[in-house]
Amino acid sequence: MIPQVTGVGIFIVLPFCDVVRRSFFTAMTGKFCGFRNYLTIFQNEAFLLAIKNTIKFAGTCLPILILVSLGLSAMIYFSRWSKLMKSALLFPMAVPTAVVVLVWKMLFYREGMLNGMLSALSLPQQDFIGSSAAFFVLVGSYLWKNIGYTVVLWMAGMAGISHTMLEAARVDGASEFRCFVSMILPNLKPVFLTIIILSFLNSFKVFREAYLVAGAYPEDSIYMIQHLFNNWFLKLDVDKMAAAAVCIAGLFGAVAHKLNLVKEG
Amino acid sequence: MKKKYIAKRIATAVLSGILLVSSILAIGCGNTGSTEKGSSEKGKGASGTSSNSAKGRYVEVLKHSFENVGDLSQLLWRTDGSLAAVDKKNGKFYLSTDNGESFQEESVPVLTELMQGSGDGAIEVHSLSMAPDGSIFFAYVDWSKGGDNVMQIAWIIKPDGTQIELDPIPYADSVSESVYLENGLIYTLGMLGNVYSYDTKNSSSTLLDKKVIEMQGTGNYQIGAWGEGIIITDGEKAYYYDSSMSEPDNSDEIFGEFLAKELSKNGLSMAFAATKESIYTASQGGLYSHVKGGSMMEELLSGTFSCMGDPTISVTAMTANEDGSFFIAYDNGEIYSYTYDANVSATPEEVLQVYGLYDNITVRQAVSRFRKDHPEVYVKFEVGISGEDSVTASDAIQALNTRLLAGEGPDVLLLDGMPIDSYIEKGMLEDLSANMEKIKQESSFYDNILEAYNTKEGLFCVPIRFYIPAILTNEEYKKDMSDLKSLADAVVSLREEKSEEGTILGSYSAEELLQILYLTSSPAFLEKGKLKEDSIKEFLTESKRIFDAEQQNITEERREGRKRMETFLMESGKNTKIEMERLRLQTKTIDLLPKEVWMPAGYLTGMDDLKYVTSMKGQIPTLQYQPMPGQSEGVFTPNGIIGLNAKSKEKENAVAFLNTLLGKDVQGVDLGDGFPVNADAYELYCKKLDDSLYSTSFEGEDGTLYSLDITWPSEEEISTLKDTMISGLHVPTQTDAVLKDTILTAGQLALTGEKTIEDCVDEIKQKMSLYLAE
Repeated sequence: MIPQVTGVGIFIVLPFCDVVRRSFFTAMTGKFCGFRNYLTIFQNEAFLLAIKNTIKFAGTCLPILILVSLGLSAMIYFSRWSKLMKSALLFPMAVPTAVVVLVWKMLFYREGMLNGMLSALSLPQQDFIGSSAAFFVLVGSYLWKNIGYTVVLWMAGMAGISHTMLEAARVDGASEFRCFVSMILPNLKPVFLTIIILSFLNSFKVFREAYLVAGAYPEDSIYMIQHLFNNWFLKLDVDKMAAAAVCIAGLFGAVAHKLNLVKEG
Repeated sequence: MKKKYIAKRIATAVLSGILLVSSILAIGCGNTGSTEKGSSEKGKGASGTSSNSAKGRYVEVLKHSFENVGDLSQLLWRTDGSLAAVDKKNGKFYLSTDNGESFQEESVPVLTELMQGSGDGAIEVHSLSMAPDGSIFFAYVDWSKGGDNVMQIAWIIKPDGTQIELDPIPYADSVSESVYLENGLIYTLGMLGNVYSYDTKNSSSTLLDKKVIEMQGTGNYQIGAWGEGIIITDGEKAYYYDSSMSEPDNSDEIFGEFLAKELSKNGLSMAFAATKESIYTASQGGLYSHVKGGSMMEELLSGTFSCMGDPTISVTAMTANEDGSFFIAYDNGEIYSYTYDANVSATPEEVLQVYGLYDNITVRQAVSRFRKDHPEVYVKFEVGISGEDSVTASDAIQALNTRLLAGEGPDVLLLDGMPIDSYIEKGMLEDLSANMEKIKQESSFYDNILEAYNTKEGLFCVPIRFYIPAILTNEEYKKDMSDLKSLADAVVSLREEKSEEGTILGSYSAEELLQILYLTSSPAFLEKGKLKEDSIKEFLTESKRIFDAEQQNITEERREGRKRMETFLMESGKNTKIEMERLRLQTKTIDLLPKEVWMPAGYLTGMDDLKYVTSMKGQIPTLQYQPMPGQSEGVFTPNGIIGLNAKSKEKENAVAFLNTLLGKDVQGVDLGDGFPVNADAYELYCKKLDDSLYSTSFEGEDGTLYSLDITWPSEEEISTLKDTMISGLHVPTQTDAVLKDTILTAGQLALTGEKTIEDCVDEIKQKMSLYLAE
């Protein structure tokens, strides 16, 4: 335990303590300013918008991702081609961000393929990146990239379920659906919590694509907390960043604690 | 089992301890800047760069300074032990018998007679070279014997007084450089890139006797001595050749790559010297050595530690001495020696760090000037976006901010493209008010410009140069232009009057027009940190009116021509210069002749632009120029905004550097990057550089030949610019990169009609609201 505790202490706990300290001081002059930074961020429209968008994004993506991937994993689990399909599903994770960005541009830009198709059908063109449609483009991109990985996680959980137990249920006359609902799903609870945490963390990684396609100031609906942090750092607003980081850490901590309670209870 | 367990626990504890201690040490190492105090801090700069304990460096010493020298094209040691400095332009040479301390003027009798016999400036010496035994070769053109078939004449003068006149050379293949070797061979480089060898021991009177090579390359042709042979460069490759070889050897790729990079980066001024073992080069980048066929170029002395790095002077010749030292001649007539001193620090003890996102030639000049006045300080000028990699402004600022937060930031900041307001708000920049008061005691400044960034909190940054947004109009148009709307009215009405082809303001795209109009309207877009929506709407509305009139009669050929020029600039890595080229009044002014523009608008970047404008006034007497109308009045465009790091540990040196930067010596030189803010330097800045007049001519699209005689602006013109234009400037163009990018990106869609003006204003408002809210 000592190496782990030492490592975590030095590389995570101590830097975070410094972040907490900085949140009570001004950025460059280092003057104590109490809770002013916290008051500032909660009066900051950009911060509130970024938090709202980040929660909205996670709230939209996570349920879709978890349900769709669970459905797919169940289909694959009962399929003869499961090995082949598993490999294919991991393909999006192997696509470099630069390629994803290029595809985004080819598809969704004003002169992109989608608008070309709309024109061909005599339909009005859409500004996919510069309008509220950008949010759904981002959601789609996140789902495309993460579904395969999540399916693999679900299937790893399913692989751990005893076949003997399932066979016994089938002998007792349980249908495949009944087996899935009453035996497989309850046994996937530990994996479910892992998937939620990983998927939530992965939802932050979509910032790379959003930033490269739409820049530091994208359409309001895809302005995420990472945009704000990136821009604050450029302006040396480290005090605001520290206060916001402490608030977000508190929020994550509360959610993680709640999940642990669910896991234990 | 228990023993094994105990050993495992001990190993675990030891490893943990090592991890803990090394981490603490790592943290400790990064924090030297804030823990060490006093004299030990000297030489660290704000960055905490530890003073260099390594010893040994080439030390630069001024050996001799010539008065009225023309072009010191060659330095060489003669067999009699004297040092010769050859002045090609004046057809003279100088000899020193005391190791370069003093020189005696010598003449080339034939050449002197020729020069005295012909009219003033009629004899133009193209090449003059000396062999170690004192033999001289020269080639000249006598313009007084003009006509269509001007020939170049070449002579060889032997030490015993023998004079040989060679056959005349056709001007098209005339000699531009030559090397006269000890073995009696002369190698000549012609204007077309042909290198010939000529053996003075034979009796041939044909100089272009034997062609060694016909070069392709980029045209940056140079030739230098290499033992019993020569080194030739074509800007891309290096060729070695001597008489024993059947053809030149260009297998030394390392040297070739170095030459290509150095010549493209720092211009053509480069000198060579070679010993049996090594080849040496001197250029703006510094002094380098290379062993033929070796795997590296060794930097002996960086340009930043010597006159070589000064952008206002160029290396013209060098010699490698037997004792390992070097003599290098510059185009200002100075000869410096560079001698290795093993006892001095490899870099000066004190370090002053200057940082800018973009390169700045005035800062480079100040670095060189400061180094002369403060040899104990090493000024390190770091450029964030060099153009050699894919670093963006955002990447560079993030890296800079990390350093600033760690207390290791640069001492002097060139703030162009940086978030100035944020830096001021965070207390990152030093209040310069008190320092500026002291600096002002030494010179008078244009306070209206210098203090344009003054706020009630203090003066945190100052512009070092500025451009003047201006528009050229004509008395005959009788247009009253005072703001953007009246400018739009004038453009629309002029378009109705002038139905011929061509633009009104000289723009060829929506982006280009917005860049022009942004200059004098941008200060109206923000007020107390809030976006003025009405101003943006008015800007786009009037810009759209201008754009529609502007684009009406542009021919496709002209548009394509412009695109080709900009593509060329982008492909040659000069994309940052596209905006400057679009906005400079020099090229737009010439376009008045073929009527491709009626009221050129842009900015004056210096005397080069002003002389074109005033010369055009000589051709079109009714031509006038005035400040460019926009949504704000009295607008100038700063180029180079300087601030000092409030946490700098080298404040004294930083202030001294600021003093140098704003001093008369630096400000008085026109480097084409803006007018000086130092009013005392204005006269020096405007001083006529060249007595000769020249004419520029070009062919119009219809094949007509146009020409413009370029003359230096008169005293009256220079005074008028100062009194009527510069004195009225007090508002800087908005330099906020996010604002500019947002308005230009969205504005183009409004101008081209892809979006309505209202939609574009909403888009700008949305993006800027986020930006300003942050």
